[in-house]
Amino acid sequence: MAIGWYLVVSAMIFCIGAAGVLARRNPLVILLCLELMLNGANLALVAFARMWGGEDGQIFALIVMVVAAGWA
Amino acid sequence: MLFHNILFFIAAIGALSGAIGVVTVRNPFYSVLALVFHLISLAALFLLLRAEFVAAAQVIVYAGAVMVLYVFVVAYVGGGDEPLPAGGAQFKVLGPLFALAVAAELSIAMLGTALKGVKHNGAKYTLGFGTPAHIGNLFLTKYLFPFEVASLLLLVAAVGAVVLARRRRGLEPDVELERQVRVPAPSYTGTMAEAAGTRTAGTMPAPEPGSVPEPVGHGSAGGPPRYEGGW
Repeated sequence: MAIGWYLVVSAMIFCIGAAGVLARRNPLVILLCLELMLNGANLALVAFARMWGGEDGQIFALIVMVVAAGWA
Repeated sequence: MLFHNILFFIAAIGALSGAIGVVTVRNPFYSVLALVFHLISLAALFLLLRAEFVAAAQVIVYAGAVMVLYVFVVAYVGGGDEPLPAGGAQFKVLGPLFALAVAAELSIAMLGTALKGVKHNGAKYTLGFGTPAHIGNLFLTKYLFPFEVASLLLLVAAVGAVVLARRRRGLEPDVELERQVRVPAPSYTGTMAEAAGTRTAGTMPAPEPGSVPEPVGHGSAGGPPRYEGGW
């Protein structure tokens, strides 16, 4: 599967999360939608790590997961 | 290769439907469950991208620990429908419009990109790409400083959570505890003499004539406040 497909999926997840952050008013659901946006970014990071053949993007994705676990 | 494509579409549809479920479902508990589904599908996508360790961490840490925490929050706070009252009527329309604009911009950027690698399946990878051995090696050599900063961040978050929970519990917890302990047990309750029935009414400390509490104790109306159980 070409890397572009993964990027399309990550962009759609990010946009769904952004729409949720703006439209929902329950603070808990807003936090969940922020997690969605972080996950979209994570998918893009891992996809680019696969594209370049390096593991640095996966390291970055793990750091993002740590931050998300920190403010949860 | 065909199997890879089928797996990709299954996982991508799962992730997208989970994301849509998080946003659209009214009950916050169900949106947490939809987020768990989304995270597990995303872990499958990570596996397809040869990121084994990230996928395992996603399932264990994210879909396991963090989501259990969210379920607890929903169970304690309770899912009120829309607690924030301030006017968000325009956001309900503008939010999806803004998201559509961002999506259009991102797709334009992706269609017009000059990156050749986007059209291909990715670079050649060495054996053991994305395994815990490689990731741990990078974390302890090249990315040691971000690793330490992340651990410090988690420590600060844990200590801060404990401090906040202590402050929210009450003003002076010791005073409250002392007030509970200092209530004296009324006479003739719970003694061996009461059980044996050897105490007589004459030794009781000045009972009122009308409402003499029975020495048996439980449920005696009008008696002094009693210390009921506890520790």
